[in-house]
Amino acid sequence: MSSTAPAAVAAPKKARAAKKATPSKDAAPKAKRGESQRYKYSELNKASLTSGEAQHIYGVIIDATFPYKTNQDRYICSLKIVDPSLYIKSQKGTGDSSDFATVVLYAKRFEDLPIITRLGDIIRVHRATLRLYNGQRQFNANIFYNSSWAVFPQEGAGHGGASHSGKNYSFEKSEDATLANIRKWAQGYFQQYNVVSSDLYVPLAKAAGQKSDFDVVAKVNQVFELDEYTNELRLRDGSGAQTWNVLALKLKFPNVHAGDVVRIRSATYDETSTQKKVLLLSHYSNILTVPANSKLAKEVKAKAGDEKLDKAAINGVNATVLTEVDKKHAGLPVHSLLDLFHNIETDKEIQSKDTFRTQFYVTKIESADVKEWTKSYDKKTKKGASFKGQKGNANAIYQVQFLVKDVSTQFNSNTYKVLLYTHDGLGANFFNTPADNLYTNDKAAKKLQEYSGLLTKFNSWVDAVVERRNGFYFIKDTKIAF
Amino acid sequence: MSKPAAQQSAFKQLFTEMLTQGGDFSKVNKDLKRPLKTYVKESYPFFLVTDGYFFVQAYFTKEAVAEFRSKFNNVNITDLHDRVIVLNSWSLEIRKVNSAETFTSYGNLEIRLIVNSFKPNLNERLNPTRYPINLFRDDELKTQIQQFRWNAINAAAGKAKSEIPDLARVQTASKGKVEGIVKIGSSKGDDFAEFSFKEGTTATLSLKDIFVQEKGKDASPAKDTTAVPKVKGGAKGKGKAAQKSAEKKAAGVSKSAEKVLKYTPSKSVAKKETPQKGAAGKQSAKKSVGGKKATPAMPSPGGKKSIKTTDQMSMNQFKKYLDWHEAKKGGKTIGKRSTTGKASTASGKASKRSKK
Repeated sequence: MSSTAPAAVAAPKKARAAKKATPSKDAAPKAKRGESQRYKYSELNKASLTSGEAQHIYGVIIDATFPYKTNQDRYICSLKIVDPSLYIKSQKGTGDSSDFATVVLYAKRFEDLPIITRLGDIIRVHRATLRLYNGQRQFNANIFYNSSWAVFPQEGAGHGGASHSGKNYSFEKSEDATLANIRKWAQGYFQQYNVVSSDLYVPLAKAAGQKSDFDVVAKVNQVFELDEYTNELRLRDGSGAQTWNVLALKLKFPNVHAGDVVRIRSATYDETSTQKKVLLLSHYSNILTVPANSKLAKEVKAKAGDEKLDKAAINGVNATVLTEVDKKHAGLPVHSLLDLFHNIETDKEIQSKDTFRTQFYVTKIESADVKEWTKSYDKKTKKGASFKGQKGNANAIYQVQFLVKDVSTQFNSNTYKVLLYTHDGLGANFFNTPADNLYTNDKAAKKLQEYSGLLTKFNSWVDAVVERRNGFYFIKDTKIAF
Repeated sequence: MSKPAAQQSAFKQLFTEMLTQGGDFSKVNKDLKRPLKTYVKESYPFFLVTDGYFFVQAYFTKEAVAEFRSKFNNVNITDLHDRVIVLNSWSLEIRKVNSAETFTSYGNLEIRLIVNSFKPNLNERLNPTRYPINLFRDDELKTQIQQFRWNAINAAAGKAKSEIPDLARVQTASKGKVEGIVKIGSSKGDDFAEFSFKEGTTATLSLKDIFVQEKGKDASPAKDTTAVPKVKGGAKGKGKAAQKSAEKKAAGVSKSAEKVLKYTPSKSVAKKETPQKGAAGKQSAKKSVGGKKATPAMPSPGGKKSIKTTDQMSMNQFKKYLDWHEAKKGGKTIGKRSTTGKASTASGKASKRSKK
């Protein structure tokens, strides 16, 4: 909402009328309090420590807590910000505490504070007070009194997509240039500098030795849906061989995806987890994504690498996805079994499509005898015959039924059929071996037996693309990843 | 594969072992069934105990509460917040619950800590090594509960009869109907309930009942459950405060009544409304204190705002009290008895005294 200059109201002739008269409809609207003042924004390093006046600032966010309650009627959000006058200058990543300013926002309600999910977003604060705290410039803003904030995304133009305190926020025309300049500077800064200095986080390899909470910068290798409320993030930062796990509530951190580089603000080492490495989060902990094209993200991704699937390590402790889908389906959204089997009559999107991506675990494979997974198929009669007693492998196809469940159907008393029928070519490469007479091909039979064992193990998951045909779901464009 | 590190958390070790043993507490290692020293994180409305790492909810049997009261009758169970207690005799059992309603559960299963006997260590303080978190939000325990459920589901799925659709059938249009839902287990409802463990049925007392037994029905619980409950206050304190405020009000009203008494109405009204001279000076006897209606002669000794005289002694009762008192004290009288027949001021004081 842009501010307008105040307009004079026409004075009525009679004194008595002056008291009673209301502005006519034709008169210019009365100026709102504060609209006429132009905010003078100070650079972080140049804001006066001695004036005692309220300060107005713009800054690029490099760290933020989640809003948290400190006592019965107070909530706090604490951020670290930089700008062209105050930033971590060393390209190698090491800095000190004078390379940024902190902003502490106080409010009486949780919803009056910003939820920061990305580094690089730009925050504007009005009427903050500045002081030095532990040698650092600290801007304090009481949102419940007269301060306000607005957060603008790093990408994009103008002030669209902003979040802000209060019902509205002001934005003067002169601020367009300010915002565009700081945005441009931020994008360049993130591409050239590490932004978060190495003293501001701990490598995962050293996490177990930390006595208090610490910050982490790592790549998210996998986002596993543990249950309807929680995702389990698997993290690597290249400092050690191990992969770390952290539980992230879906409602709190909905925008974390596999492949993202994240900064975790305030984690602690869980010494009670003995079978896997786990980080614990507190109510004020935060997970912030690092811009994908930033120097920091590229370095961390290169160091972290990808976790290779190790068959021997599949022991049920960690969720393991055994399959991979064709690249052409990489962008497909994941649908739950509840959607595919129960909501089809009410969901128009599911009715209109026939190809879906879904994730499930296998409770049973039929037939139980692996050698019966392949059949000889007669196209004319549309019948399949067992290879038992046969020597050849003519017209061999896979005819396998998986009984599956997932998180959405965890508590009900159903399992669901997902078919691997390759008579039309769908899913022919699923087992990485062409269909054959398994009564004569012992090698193939042994391989399939191994797959059967892994697929029906606890915490083994299948990420598959399925096609709905004639009321059944058939696997396609998916294969086991080893 | 390297040996897993020793488990730091007693609760996690016990609950894990319980799940490993299929929910059968009798199969849990005897070495783990020793008395447990725990710190009470919260005592009302939930009794949460912690081992320094995790908290779980403790459920008390009737015998446990009775034994505690007989040995520690000056200590309230619901006041044990921030104290150390030793669970001398306890057990674990699994129950099917709705996890959306029971926060100390996961996957619609709750492993309950049943306390059969416990005692407080009032002089001992424990500082938890970390802020205790809900054991049922722990990553590893969630995974173990999921495996517990998975085992049951797999067993049921193994028994389920489902046909493999033949190739001809899957190539025939189904008129929009989705096929392939297979019911497992024999439970009638939609929820899966085909578990092999024997669900626990130990009767325990609700904490609300314990609270009411200790504090009374009218006592309202402290809103801030993290605050240490205090024994002082309650009905007595309220009564004293109310009495003081009523006396202050009575004093203020008596001043107003004085002004009213000084006002001289018209002759026709004077006879009816102007109080008699004799009694006018006896302010305590004549000034009204409460309401618009006819009020008692004396301020209510109980400090109540009520205009009724329900709490006052009648003259007959007061005379009986005086006789009783004289008999007890050997004939000494409380106050002066008026010889002139006027209402004695001492009677007002005596009646007040009798109410205290």
